[in-house]
Amino acid sequence: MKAVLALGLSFIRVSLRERSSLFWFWIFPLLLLGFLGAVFGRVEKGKMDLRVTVVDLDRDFLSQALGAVVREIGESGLFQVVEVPESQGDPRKWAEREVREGRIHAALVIPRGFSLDLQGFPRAKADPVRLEVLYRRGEAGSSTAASILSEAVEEFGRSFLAETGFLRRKIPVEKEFVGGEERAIAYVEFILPGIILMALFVNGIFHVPSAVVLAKETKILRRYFATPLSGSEYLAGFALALVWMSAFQIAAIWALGRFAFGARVPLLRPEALLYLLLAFGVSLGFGFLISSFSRTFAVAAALSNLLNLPLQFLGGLYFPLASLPVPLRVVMAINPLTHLAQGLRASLGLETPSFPAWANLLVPLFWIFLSAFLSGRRLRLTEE
Amino acid sequence: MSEKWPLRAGVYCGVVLLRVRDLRKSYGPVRAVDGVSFSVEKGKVFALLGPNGAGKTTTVEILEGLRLPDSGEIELFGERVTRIGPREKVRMGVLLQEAAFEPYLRVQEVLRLFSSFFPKARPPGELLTLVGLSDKARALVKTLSGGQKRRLALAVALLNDPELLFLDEPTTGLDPQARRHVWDIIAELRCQGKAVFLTTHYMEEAEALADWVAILDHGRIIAEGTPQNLIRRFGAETFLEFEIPKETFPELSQLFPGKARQDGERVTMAVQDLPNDLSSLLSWAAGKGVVLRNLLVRQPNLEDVFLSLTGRRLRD
Repeated sequence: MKAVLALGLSFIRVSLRERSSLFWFWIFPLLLLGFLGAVFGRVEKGKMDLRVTVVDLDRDFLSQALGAVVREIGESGLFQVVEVPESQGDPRKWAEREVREGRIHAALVIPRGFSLDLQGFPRAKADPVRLEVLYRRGEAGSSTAASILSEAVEEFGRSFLAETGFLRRKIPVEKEFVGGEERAIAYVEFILPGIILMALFVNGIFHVPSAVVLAKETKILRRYFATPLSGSEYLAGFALALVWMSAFQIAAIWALGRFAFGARVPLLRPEALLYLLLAFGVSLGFGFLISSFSRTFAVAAALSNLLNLPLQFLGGLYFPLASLPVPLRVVMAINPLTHLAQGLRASLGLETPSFPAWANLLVPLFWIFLSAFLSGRRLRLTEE
Repeated sequence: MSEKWPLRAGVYCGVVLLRVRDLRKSYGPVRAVDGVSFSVEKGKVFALLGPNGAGKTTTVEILEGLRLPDSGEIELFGERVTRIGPREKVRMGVLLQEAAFEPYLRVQEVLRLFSSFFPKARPPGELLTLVGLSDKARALVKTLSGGQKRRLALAVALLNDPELLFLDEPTTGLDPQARRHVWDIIAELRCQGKAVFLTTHYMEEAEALADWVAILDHGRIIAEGTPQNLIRRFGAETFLEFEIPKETFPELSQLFPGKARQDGERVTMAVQDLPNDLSSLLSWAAGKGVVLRNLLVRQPNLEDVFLSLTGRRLRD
């Protein structure tokens, strides 16, 4: 353990002293965010695919009719209606969680007694039954979805109920935010997770070959392994350093986004942390994969450059990829950065993923296991 | 050089720390090490000499645990081992031929880092004083000269106070004063009972330091013994060395057939009868008007032994 910690510390020292490492590791991501933030910081990002749900606790004919109206509006392409899973014991709690965690933009909750109340039947409580719309504040998609649901209820009241004669008064709708703050989303918030992923990815694909191929080529590894130090201790020391450096790097990017551009990106959400962890794994995996196929550092650097930009740009790190031509969509679909970016942004409430959540988890995991398997078979830290 | 540097009596005679039998290693069709056997004793300096490509580096790397042999037996610290692992490396110190350290670490950081690889280590300050690098403790490795890097490598090799020390060309790149200082350190280590496995390009170094010399060529040990015995075996010849214009050499070699050897303008002649041969040489030079520049008379040394056995100079 002593050796692992000492190695980790030495990697950190080197990264702070070596100019190219200092620039690409610590400065470039901040510069990129600074540039994009300054140019596009206040621009609102594009159209979102909205997802809503209807929680019908009343289960009477009027509540079902309201649900049908919402679904009908959804069929026009304005949003997608997510059905409440059968297995949910408490559908309202489920909906609240889904909205809070960004998987659904807004939920319409129809309480028990809604149909009877509208028909004017006497109830124990004098207050009219109120519909609830759950949404997240500060997220354009969620606010929009909530507004559409409110409009749908009004439309329901106006056209359907008026015609059937049940309407006695305007249906009260109460919007309830379950997270976030009221504000518009800027492009800088969309780009910030992308830059974090870019930084993590670059760390892996450039630093691992440096720590493995270059250190082997310059005989530094031979010197280490002429001592009792083992290959796994060396790699653990390197990984430890990279974890620490990446954590500081993410914190620096976040801080720049927050304090210079007012970006509010809650990275400490468990789901977001999971995607960051996966991104770290993917970047290490690609780094080791490149190292295991490179005899010299020049080859490794060429491979890293060859993979770096295409994967970044076809991973939707900087802009949405909805309009890509079909062949590139295939690359996008197998690109782990696509799924990491979508998953991370969805977990932060910044984007509705075009891929299902399981794909956003499984594709990065697949790459992690594939690269671990291939690197394990091919990578040699010593001559023998 | 006929005396050890400095002359000390060994008190650990006979305790073998490293024994190698019939060590073999091939790279494809090339037999890099072809049945090498030797032993290294406690309190002794063992020197392995050989021209480039003789198999010296492969042999050393196998013993340092950086390569695996194809076959052969290695007995280290009294135990037979199939591969040299962490248990053995804890008791070994290694100075590799190329002093490769992370260029952006400071000298003292390198020592602290390597200290962490061993259960116990000598204080970095003490080692830096020993190798004369105290004033460079905070310098980045990349700013060190070749000789300073070599001394840092020696300090790293001594960090764990090893029982067996592998020194692969320890004084290459050092100035004469620093070289003598390293000789002092090696001599002191021998006195402390350490076993030293030395490879060097400097014959005078092997003569000065080694208790036992093995000459390796084409993967085989072609001669071994104490430096004095090897030189004695070579015969009672005396050497004349001088410089003459290249074009006059063919005539000289006709006068002394089989005795003269040319290396550029430098000529080395092995003579049995010094007064007569020297007289003949001077007469020839006077008759032809050839100036014998830098003429010297010397006794044979390990370089001559090496040359006669391998046909090559050590640094060829």
